[in-house]
Amino acid sequence: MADHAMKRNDAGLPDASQAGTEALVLRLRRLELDLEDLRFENARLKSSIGEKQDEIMALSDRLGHLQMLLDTRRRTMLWNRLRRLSPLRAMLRRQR
Amino acid sequence: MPSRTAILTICSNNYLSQAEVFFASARAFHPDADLVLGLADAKHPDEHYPEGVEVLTADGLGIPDFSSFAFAYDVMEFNTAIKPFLMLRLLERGYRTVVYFDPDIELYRRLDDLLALLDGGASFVLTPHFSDPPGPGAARTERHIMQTGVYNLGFLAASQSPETEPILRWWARQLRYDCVNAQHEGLFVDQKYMDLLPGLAAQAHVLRDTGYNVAYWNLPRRVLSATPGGIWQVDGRPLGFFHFSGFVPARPYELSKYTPEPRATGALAALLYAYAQRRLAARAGTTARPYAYGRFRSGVPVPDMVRRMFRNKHLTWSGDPFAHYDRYCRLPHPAACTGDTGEIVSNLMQYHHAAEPALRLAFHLDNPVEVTAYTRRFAEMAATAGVEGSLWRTMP
Repeated sequence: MADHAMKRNDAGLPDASQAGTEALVLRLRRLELDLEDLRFENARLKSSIGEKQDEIMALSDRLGHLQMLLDTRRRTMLWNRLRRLSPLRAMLRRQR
Repeated sequence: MPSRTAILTICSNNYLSQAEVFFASARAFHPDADLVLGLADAKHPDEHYPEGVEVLTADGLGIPDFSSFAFAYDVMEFNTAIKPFLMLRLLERGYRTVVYFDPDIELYRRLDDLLALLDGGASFVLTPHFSDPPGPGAARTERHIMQTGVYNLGFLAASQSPETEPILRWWARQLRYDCVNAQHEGLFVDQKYMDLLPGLAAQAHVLRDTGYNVAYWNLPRRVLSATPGGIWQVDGRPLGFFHFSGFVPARPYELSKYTPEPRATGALAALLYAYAQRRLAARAGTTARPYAYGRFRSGVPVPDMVRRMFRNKHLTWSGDPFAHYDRYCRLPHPAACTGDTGEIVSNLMQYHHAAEPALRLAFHLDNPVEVTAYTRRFAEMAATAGVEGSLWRTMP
């Protein structure tokens, strides 16, 4: 059998297996560190998204305020036009 | 088969003469170590990099979102920010120890005592700025050091140990976004974070040997001498390495541009003169190369103000900021009104206004007259600071 030809360590396990286990342990540790990095990055991005959302809300409020001002100006301009038309209406009323 | 030890430095192309002198000394005393240059730049096709030194460019160190990272930092911040990434990659390759030095350091003997500490179980070795309190009139006081970092990160050694990689990763996470000079916020590039290292790393070793990391900030408290045989000593023991921070070869009588007075005399003058000769000889006649991350793709220089705006407003950027961020800079900012002669406040102008309390007090950007006045003020500042008009004018 192939195992008889392999060197064995003190525990009786083939050395190649022990090296493989160590490599897996190292890989697992690195993956855990990668996961920690990703969690940190995720938290940072979420915080940044939160800030951007606050900015969007503030700008939307400002936009809404500006739109209201613009609507008021338009209404005022329209009313002025209507007022200029009112003598004509008065004439029409008298003719009736 | 790679060596057990990697000796490394980091610099951009414009600091290669310093790196050349450093590597010559490292090679002389540690021919058994592998020499690595972390290039905080792009490799220039016409440049000759130090012989026998492996060059690893910053964009190959596995830094996530690299273009945003390089855009966010000025050249000094960038040089310091890549340190943990480089050390991690070398440890992952299997080096038993990695020893970082700033490029303006020169070795004067073998550092077997340092390597013995690392082989003996130290996960990190670092040197404090001060191993004695500074005297009166010192170039750097306790407060300076407390603001910029207890330990000088012009030197850092690390060895393979269970705590090394997690700590380097922690450091890398901090430097990914916050490797900045903001002393009022307790930050000083990479260095200030390492005040925490002795608390975080059970096996970190603070090396107080006065022959290590001798520089202008601690030399007044150390005695530099030379033996008749020409061996440099500090406090009667062989000098390990000297950190020529702020040294200008054209003025070898000055220890550092940060401490021009008094002029160097005696052993110090001889040491400085010899180093100046080596620096002047290294790469004499070579051409200065532009920094690879200093300009937009359009060729316009990236001002520090734009980098600060980028990192304060945008954690990341879709695409390459070097290609597109200049357009963002000149877009109209929606929260400001137009000036009374048609001036538009761009994003860059608004950022600068928001960042300066005096400007916020003097100019209200919801008042057209003040927008006009602010635009004039900004134009003067931009001209002085070299900020091109294409980065802030919204009209052609």
